Amino acid sequence: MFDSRRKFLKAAGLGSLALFFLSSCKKLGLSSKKKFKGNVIIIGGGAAGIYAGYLLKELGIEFTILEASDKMGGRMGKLTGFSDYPIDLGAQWMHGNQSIVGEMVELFQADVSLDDTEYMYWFENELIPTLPKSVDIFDKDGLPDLSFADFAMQKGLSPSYLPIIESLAGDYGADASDLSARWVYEEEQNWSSGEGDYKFKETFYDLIFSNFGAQVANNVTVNSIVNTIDYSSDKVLVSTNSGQQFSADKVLITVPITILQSNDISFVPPLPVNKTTAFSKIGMGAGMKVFMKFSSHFFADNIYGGAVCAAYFNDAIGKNTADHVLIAFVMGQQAEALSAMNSDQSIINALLAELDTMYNGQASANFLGAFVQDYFKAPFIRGAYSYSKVGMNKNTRAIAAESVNSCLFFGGEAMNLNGHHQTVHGAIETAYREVMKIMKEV
Amino acid sequence: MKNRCFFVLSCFFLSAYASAQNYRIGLGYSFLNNSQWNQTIQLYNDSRPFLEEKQPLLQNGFFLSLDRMLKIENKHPFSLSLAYSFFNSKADNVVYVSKINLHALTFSFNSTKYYLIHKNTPLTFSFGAGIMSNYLERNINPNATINDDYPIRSLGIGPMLNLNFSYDIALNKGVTISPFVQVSFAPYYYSPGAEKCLNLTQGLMEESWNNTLNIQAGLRFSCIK
Repeated sequence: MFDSRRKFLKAAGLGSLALFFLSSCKKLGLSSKKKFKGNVIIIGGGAAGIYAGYLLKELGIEFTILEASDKMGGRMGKLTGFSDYPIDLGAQWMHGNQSIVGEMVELFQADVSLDDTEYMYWFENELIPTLPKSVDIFDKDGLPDLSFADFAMQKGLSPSYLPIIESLAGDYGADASDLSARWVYEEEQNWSSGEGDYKFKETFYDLIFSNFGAQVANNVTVNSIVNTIDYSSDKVLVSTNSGQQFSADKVLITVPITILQSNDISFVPPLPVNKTTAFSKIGMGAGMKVFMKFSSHFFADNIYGGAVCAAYFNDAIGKNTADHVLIAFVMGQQAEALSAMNSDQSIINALLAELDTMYNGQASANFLGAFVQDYFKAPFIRGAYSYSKVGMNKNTRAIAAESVNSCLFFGGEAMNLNGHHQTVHGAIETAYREVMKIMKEV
Repeated sequence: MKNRCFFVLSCFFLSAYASAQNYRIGLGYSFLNNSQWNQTIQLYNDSRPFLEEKQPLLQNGFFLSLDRMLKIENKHPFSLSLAYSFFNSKADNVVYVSKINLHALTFSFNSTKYYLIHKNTPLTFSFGAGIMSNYLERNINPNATINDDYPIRSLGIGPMLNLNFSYDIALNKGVTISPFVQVSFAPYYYSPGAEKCLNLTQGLMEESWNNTLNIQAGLRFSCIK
């Protein structure tokens, strides 16, 4: 074929050049993007489910979102009429601005401001700006898999610091006795979204649901409580409590981890044991937000260390308002204790009593009204958000998020593998991760 | 450390021990293909339909190179080459401008020139081996992205093989101009953290080890002392 060695070398040289170039084009994905032709059912109408629907719509793929409650939103919500500004009932801070949500803020020109107000600590029955000892003990490599509470004691902090440690754990939606010092640190090493917590002048809810929820609203079926997912045949059959049955090629499950842990949804055949074990290793504790309106601003912008509620925040930060609204941000066992009370009024009374102790009766004297949002009692949520629990390991979330039989996919903040769990942008990242997986699973 | 590297490289390029010296300066177009980076940028674009202007792939840039031909007595001649390339990807969405910059540096030892057809024809090829490295950074509106108080950036490095085809045109006795094409391939390229720059996430792509292809086309100017 080649009449001389030189000609062979010449052909080989040019051939390899062509091969390099062709292989590069293939890897760019420019040649042929596989197109999924089937339909998808998304279970859960929170941020992950809504964004997955939006992406599928953009890709021209048929989909239905089944939402168990009577409205979209999940752990995002909006309250109007309580104060002179709309309130975020659920997620209200954008954590870091270098994420897909940060880009949405820029693109849709949402007005946000950095929430960097000062802290006060309720410590040994007085409000103080600085603690006698630093509690900055958790941001270190090589921590043991002990709870925040146990590790704090091991580091020599006295029991007086436990309410402060509780407030730190509360930021993670956890009780200090369950939150792992080791896994919080390990999972946070993947964080890449930048610094600071940002508040929305309007609401976080509006950013997500006005811009994306509205686009998929026609594909959402509310009051659809899924009880069975049968993936034993080619088509996945999804059944609801009301007897409706839906059929799909792929199902994306974005429900909170508590729903998966409590087997509210039966899988046929059952999910692999390693997967259900992984579900059980991810923490998600009780969570409650109580919005209290006062006639004056007698309180600090951040109060840490209460025994009834470990963290209070001034909700008016970043808002255009004349109202004075304080949020009781109650997590873990404190939230369970309040949730177990008979009525919202009992919860409010307990919180007012604690604030009265801190502020010499000013809370009750200035109290105008309150709104209780108890996510622990919300039947299709039952908690705040996922956290790094003692006893989990570095593969726990990855196993929980693995797809099953190329037809069941798992999203939502608890399934975020890159340190952005507990956040709206973390939930959205799982939405696009899973949609891209679905596109590849042809 | 940087000064020491600079000193060592300077010695290579300015050494007076070689019996013959031939300097070449090159410039031209540079094409880059790192499959993982491209997939990450594709993921970034696919996941953000709301962005009207998509983030272009990091594939088109320019390069500048400096070669030194060396011939040590009784040994085959060879060359040392240092090349800098710059690639840029900019998505200008009016209120949101995202810009990714990639600075790449290669250092290689290259063989003598071999004639493709017969001796003394101007068409030659050579091959070589060396190191490819890069610095990746992202700016948004127009600030550097920051995480944990430091800019989000990524450094990459890997061994590289290259193949070079050139056509020598002698302008006069001392100066030669050579159009050329060079294909460089780094099969085991280590670039941890690139996903943070390219998609603002970490762990969605298996990105630490990948491969990088670089094709350069341009002109070299040779000057024989």
